[in-house]
Amino acid sequence: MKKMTKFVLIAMLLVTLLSACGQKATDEATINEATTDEKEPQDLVFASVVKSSGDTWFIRYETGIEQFETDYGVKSFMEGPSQPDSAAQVALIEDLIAQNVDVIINVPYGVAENELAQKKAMDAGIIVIGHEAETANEGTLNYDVEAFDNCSYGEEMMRELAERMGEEGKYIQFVGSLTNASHNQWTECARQYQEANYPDMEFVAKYESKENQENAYNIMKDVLKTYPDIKGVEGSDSGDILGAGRAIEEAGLADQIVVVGTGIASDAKELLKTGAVDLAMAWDPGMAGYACSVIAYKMLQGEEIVEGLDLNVPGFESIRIGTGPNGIPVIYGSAWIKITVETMDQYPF
Amino acid sequence: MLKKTIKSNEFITFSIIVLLSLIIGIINPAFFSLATVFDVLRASIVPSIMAFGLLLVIIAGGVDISFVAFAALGAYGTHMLLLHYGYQGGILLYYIIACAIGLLAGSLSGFIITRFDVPMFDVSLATFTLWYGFIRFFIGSAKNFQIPEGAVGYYAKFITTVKDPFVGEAGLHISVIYVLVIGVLIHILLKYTTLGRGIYAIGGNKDVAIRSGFNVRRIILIIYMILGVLSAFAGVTQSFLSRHFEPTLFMTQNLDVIAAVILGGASINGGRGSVLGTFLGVVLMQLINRAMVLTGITVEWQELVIGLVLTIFISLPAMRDRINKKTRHPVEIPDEI
Repeated sequence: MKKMTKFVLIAMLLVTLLSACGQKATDEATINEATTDEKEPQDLVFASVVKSSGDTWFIRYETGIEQFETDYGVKSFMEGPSQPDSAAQVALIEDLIAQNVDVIINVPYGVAENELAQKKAMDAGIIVIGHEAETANEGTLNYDVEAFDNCSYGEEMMRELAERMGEEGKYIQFVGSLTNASHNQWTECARQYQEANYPDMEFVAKYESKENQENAYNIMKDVLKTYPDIKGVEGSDSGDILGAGRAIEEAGLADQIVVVGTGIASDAKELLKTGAVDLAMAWDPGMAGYACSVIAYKMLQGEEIVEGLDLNVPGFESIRIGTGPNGIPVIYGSAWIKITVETMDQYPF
Repeated sequence: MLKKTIKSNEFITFSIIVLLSLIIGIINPAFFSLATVFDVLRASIVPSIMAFGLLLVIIAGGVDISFVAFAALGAYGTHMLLLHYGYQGGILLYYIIACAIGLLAGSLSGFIITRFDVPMFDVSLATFTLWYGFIRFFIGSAKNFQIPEGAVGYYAKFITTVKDPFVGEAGLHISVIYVLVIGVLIHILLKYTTLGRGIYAIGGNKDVAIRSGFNVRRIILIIYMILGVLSAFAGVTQSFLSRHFEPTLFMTQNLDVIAAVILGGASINGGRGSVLGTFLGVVLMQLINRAMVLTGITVEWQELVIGLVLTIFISLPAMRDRINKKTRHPVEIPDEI
């Protein structure tokens, strides 16, 4: 009896392995078929699936893919659950596979939870592009597109901070948490860039806001006491510049301390107006959506995606190609935007 | 009298505060300033109000983690409702509506606890998730920065301010008055009313309390109504101080408030605790957190240091009790009753 079970198990294993190999072969066939069988642009369907459709961030994203529709003459639309929800996203992707769309651009809420559905779409011959999904596993996306690579973003932030500080004086950094990889990469690269380029600036300390504005506020108040000659603040979490900015504004020091960091116009508006926050940096989800679409379009046209390619999108004039931590190819632009009191009305998100 | 004062929990907490302040001040003399006092008080306002509500639960022998969700529901729910109707008036209506919402949410918990005889902690585990989920599904998931015109500038309403050429201006915010008023009211409730005696009695021994004729169900229901109202009140206050409303308000801060109540000498087993001690516990908690920046301990070490300090301080009252028990009566009647 035991032997029998063993035999059945081995047989099942073999069958699965064989069918997997077979499937791979047919996959390649369908992909080749898809690329050789060229459609007219007006017949191409580009679908975007986002974390949640009602969010101002993704309303902005939608303007980008609508612009792409107009510019390229294809059909392009966005779908997403009303609240961020990976299961609902997976269901939407399954529907799109059934509708046989040409391209799916996915902005996953949970990267891992979406991988299987993405792979299924790729197996069905659909081009799948990810955004904010750098950590996806190999084979679950054709490309992931990021507005920038973290190190360049941190360096750019330092250039902005340094310029406003007159390239001298003490500065502190905030991260949302010590375990947030992006935040720590931004701040580390910024600090190294400062050490190499601005010898008159002095790094004082790094603080953890725990992604809570009120913590950033209280920490900033104590920083003012401990380092009264502080001249600059760099924030990572979008609440950091708000908390620190409030503390600085309430202390009446808005003109003396420079605050630069990640943030969006809708949150930072009031503090930008009073000068408590000097610059909020972010990326434009509209442009990112547009860039994702262009990459997919070029793939459909059989164009090769190479380093230095110009996507004709602001911030993506010369793309760089890298590999994500889990093996997918990642395309980087330098598409950060700088939100100041003068430019904040251009970025309604 | 003096001996009793020295042995009281409040005195121990107060002594720790003084000791900690001295240590911080020696390392960083800038700590000794009126600005520090104002800043610490400002940061203690909101946690104190919540801690006063939670104190009643803890004295009655329970623990609750859902009070932060009452606060978020009250504050964010009220704001989104009033925003919908284009309200541009003052802060008072916010407090009225939010407290009503808090009262309802607290009553629901109280009802479940008393009707089905479920431990308070178990119910709070469920309602914590329930209310944050409710907010996200029915009310909204985005932060909102639109403060009604009538309440703009509330964050900077100070009783008095001090100016410092280096650290700027620091003010004593008017909402410390709320802490004082609520604190006095809760103190009177605990010390001078039958209800208060009932709360201590339930925490001391529930069965005895029932046999002594206390209406335990009614008392627990009232405790939860107060907890709901005070939490929502704290939520609105915080939102106006930080000039925005968020659906996940306080979500990760409930343990800090519980720790503050315990640091203030309340017993997690119930039957012991006071308003003054709780307030001192909140202040101590603020100091411990702030000590990190003020003494320049790097961020990698902060959590460990805070944890160590808390472990020591939490153990102090228990160690005192052991010493008391050894040297004096085998059984001691708590001072508070």
